[in-house]
Amino acid sequence: MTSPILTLEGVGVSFGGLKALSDVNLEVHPGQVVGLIGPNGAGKTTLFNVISGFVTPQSGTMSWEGEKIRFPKPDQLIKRGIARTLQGVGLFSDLTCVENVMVALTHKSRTGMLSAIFGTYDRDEARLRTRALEALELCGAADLAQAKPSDLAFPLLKRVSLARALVAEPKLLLLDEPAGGLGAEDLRWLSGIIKSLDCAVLLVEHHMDVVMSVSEKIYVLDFGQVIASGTPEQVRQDPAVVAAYLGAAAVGGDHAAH
Amino acid sequence: MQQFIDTLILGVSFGAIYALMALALILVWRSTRVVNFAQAGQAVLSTYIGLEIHRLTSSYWIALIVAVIAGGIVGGLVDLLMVRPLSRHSGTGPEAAVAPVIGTLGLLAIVQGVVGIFWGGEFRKYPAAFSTDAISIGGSRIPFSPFDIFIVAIVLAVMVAFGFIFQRTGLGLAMRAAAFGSEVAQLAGVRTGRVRTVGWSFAGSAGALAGVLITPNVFLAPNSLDLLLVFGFTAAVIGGLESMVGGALGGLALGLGLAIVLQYLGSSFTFMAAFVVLIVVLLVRPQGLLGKKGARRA
Repeated sequence: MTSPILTLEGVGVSFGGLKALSDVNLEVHPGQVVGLIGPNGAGKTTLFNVISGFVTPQSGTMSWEGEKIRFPKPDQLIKRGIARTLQGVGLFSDLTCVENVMVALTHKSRTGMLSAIFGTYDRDEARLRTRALEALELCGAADLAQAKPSDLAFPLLKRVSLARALVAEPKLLLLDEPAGGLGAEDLRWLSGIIKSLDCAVLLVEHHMDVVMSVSEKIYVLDFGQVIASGTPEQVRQDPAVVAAYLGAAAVGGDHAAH
Repeated sequence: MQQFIDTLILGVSFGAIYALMALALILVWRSTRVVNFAQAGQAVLSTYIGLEIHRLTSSYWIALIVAVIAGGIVGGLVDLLMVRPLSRHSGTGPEAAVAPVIGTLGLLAIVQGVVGIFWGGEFRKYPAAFSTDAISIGGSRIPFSPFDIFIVAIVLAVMVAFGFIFQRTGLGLAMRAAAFGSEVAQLAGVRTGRVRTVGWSFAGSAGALAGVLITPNVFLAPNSLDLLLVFGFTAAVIGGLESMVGGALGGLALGLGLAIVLQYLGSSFTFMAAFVVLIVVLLVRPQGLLGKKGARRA
């Protein structure tokens, strides 16, 4: 087995007196799809916020590609090769869809004042636009390039925000409830694209069919602690998980928890 | 009729300068959600610096360039040294939105005081690049001078340059993104802090240029650009505060409107008229002429 791309050890976060996460250990290997599930308030989003730098934990360490690093700031993530989508869509309403995707490439843009003056801007801008269009196409949203987000239906917006997360070719993609609000057809598409990605994926999702079908490994959080981890099959049958979260119906294979 | 046309022509170059000041206020508003009262102080300081450079070099152009660069530096420093710490320390409550604005009001008074100490309070004349005498065509005088032509041309050039930066460069895209969603922009790799300081810096330069362009037609004193701030803010509000095109149109509309007031009601009414326009727009169409309903959100 390869060495993990992301390792969290002993991560603890408390807000005031409330313990949101305690002693969380988690590993993601290159190319692996890892599911993160648990009841509402279990700490899934807090854990995402730790990895993406919006929350600084009181304890614990983070390793990236085998090296211990400081918990990053949000605007450094993408340079490290980590991209994240938000719950909902989080698109800029003022920008067209292709511009929304291009934003995730501006950190690489050499378009400063000087290049604007000396005329290299055009090539640069065209290069960003081409890559953004490719990402939209990958997500089946190429024909939305010039549309404004306010004119589009929710499932299409999710495709655009996924394109923005993928455009910088991350090594690790954090997906925060990507299935929320999607219908059956879009869910099939989502599962397909997650499985087809080369990068590692860490997935928070309530939709059990999606998590169980795409994940190679699943962590279960409850009250800020990892109560179980393993393959979908192992997790499904773990009595602690059943008690805390899944319920009898899900063990039987239905998508009960939604 | 001829008199009315003359009046409108008179309003164009002033309108162009109001548009420039509106641009400065809009850049700051978009990047930080702060109404920057200190813009008048930053502009007056930059204009005095330009005047000083002109005294030393006797070159209008060197003075202009130095004033604009100084305006950019001052604008960036105001954000870095005052507004950013104020936003950080005042947390996320309702006072977080107010503290930086009050801070800029205080800074305005401080800058004007310091400028007064250095350069004195008396009225000074700032040179013009070209003649400010009215042009004559075929024996009839048009109330528009070569310097007015220069003003309109340079303001148009600045607007086009900003439009280009915003629409066609990575920096501009990052600025537009940061203005409408800080967290999402950060996740997309935008260094929102740096981008916002660049916004303040651009605004400082635009305000400095407005100061240098308007003072030959009025005069320079520590608080002589307060009116420009009011007019610039009114123009920005007419345009909806978010849109640079709106601000430019707002500036032009205000310039023309105030020229009419000046011509037919007298100079004592112009100041009041600007405020009447400001309040009427806020009451009747708070999203501005070009703004969409609900677009003005923090």
